[in-house]
Amino acid sequence: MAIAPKIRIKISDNDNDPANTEIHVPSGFTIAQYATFANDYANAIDDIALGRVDPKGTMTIPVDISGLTGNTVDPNSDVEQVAAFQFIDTNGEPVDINIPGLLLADVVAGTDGLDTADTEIAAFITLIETGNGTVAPCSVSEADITSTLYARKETRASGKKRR
Amino acid sequence: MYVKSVEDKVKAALAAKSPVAHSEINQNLTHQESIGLIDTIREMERLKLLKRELSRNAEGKLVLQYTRVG
Repeated sequence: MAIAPKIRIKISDNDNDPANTEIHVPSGFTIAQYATFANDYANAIDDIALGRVDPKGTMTIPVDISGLTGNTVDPNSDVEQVAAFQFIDTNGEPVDINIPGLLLADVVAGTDGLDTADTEIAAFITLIETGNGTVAPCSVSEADITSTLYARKETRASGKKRR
Repeated sequence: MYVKSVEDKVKAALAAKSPVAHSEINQNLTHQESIGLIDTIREMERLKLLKRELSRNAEGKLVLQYTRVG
């Protein structure tokens, strides 16, 4: 079984509390291709998160994701507010992606569901399902991600909340 | 939740020009239609009426757009 490389991105909230999110990508690409995908992924995360995305994502090698635009920390950012996505790969296996520091405006009022029709949420999901034209995320077994099972808000205690 | 009226609006947008940005379609929908937009888009994609694409805007960010197929 192929083992897919993993990209890790750190997000910090207004209290400078960090949290990480990870995604697998297929092996066999160049460092520059991985870096381009990491930039695209970080930008998509930044669009749906209030926290500050650390511009140094990591894989086995570091990738430069300093090409972020509008990457500022919002006073209401909180890494305990998580955007929880579950996708399905071609084998039917679930792929979980959790983005800390959720932008609460993307939650449908009166529900815990994320607004998947929102421009930036829809772009994020499409990036996961179809890739950026070069690199498409995959499951840990390197199978293609084909569909979305759910996208919702979850709250997870970080043990560090101060206010 | 597939919404027929959304399909009609998406088709009209695609007929007028191609490709069409997701934001352009979404902003012209009612709340009820917006809820069903993604399901409708996916069904239209399955039926090969359109395809989803990400393109880069002037800032270099990825923007979701739809292109008519056939």
